[in-house]
Amino acid sequence: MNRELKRWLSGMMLIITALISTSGSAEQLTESEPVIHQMSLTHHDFEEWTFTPRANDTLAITNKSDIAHSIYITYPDGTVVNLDVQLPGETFTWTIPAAGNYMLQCWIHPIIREEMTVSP
Amino acid sequence: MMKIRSLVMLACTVFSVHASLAEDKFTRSDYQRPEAIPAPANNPLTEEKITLGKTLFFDPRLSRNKDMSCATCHSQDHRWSDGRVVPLGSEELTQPRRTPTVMNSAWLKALMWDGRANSLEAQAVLPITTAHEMNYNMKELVQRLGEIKGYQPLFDAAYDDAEITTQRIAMALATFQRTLVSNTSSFDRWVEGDEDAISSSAQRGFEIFNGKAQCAACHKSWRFTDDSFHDIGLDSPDRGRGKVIPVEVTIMQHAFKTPTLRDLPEDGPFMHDGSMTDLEEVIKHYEDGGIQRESLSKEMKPFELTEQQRTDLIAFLKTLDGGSLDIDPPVLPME
Repeated sequence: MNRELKRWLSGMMLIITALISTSGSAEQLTESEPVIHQMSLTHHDFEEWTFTPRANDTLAITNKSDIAHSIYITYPDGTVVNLDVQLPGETFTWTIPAAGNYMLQCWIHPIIREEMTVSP
Repeated sequence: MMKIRSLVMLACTVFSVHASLAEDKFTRSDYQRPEAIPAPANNPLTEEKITLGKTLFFDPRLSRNKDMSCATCHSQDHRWSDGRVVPLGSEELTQPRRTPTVMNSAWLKALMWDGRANSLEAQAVLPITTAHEMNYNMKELVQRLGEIKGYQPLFDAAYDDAEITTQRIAMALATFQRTLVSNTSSFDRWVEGDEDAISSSAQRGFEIFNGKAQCAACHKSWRFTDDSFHDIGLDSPDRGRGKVIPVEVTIMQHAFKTPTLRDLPEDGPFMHDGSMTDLEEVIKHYEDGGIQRESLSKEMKPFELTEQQRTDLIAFLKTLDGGSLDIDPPVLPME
């Protein structure tokens, strides 16, 4: 498959994913049921997310880089939760326990550091 | 409906991950030098602070016995390290660690071999107060510097008043260190488009570095490090980062910060413990894959190079040397 075609297909897939995610958010507003949010991890970043996380939602984070990560999350009360090691291509999940500000970091790569604000 | 949506999303994710991994390749532009030196908003670079920081950096009166300055171990004669396997004063330690260079430290995201300092300002006071290094304490140092008349105008110029504090000492030392940036190397000229700047052997080495040997998995960016922490399988009891973070994080046991590959000394020492003295030995260690243990980095994947490929890789590493970064030592203030 040539590079251009692969890029186009990737783009299309992302658009479809975004549309589905959007419909999921709308569904959440009406049904108030927990939602699974897709997130991506690159070499040294969490890719920007557009959804608004709420308590009891689940994050499904995919390591899209070709290196391993070791993500940990610091809770609003300072508790640290380790999510073990995430190999390239793996998707791992974490369910948000409550509203507040969470810090997502990587033990291996200190440069990875994102704050996530969770609504009730 | 929920099930179908989940399946489609999973399929999309898997496909895009596959495409993304396949395209995860490095090019010359990934190694382009930055245009400016970064500094935190609360400690911007100023000429006055650089002058003060440089003076403090070279002043042995920052140590208890007035016999050791920062420059004693971070010497410009040794690419701002010391060229020693065991640092001065660490001879009696059971697990001494080699002195890292302070060049290009403005860009560091984690400092010290185990990452226990997260800024240059935080790091600056550690050697001063460490017993086997400068063995002093900040309270007495502030008092001592206050008694040296020549320091008053330097602090006054840097901070608009002559008060001496621990924080101001740390900020000035950090500011000076941020100005120590590698000279332009032949590799940099090649990145900028000068095709003849490095040999064809070195160009092949660049391909191996990014390809077969996968050095770029950790030694990436223009500094040739992503400041990540890995257990590279050395035969050392030192737990490294494992000593300063929760013990259940197995992957950080025996892990040390990925050092820069710029301006490497000709004969080492290399590795956090200075246990290797030539680059061929280093490369062979990575080819072997290191000691197999639970904490071993997932990036440690054995491979095999030919003699020629090893030569090419070393030729490439030598193109990262911009030569000695020389500065004029300061005139130390009089008592």
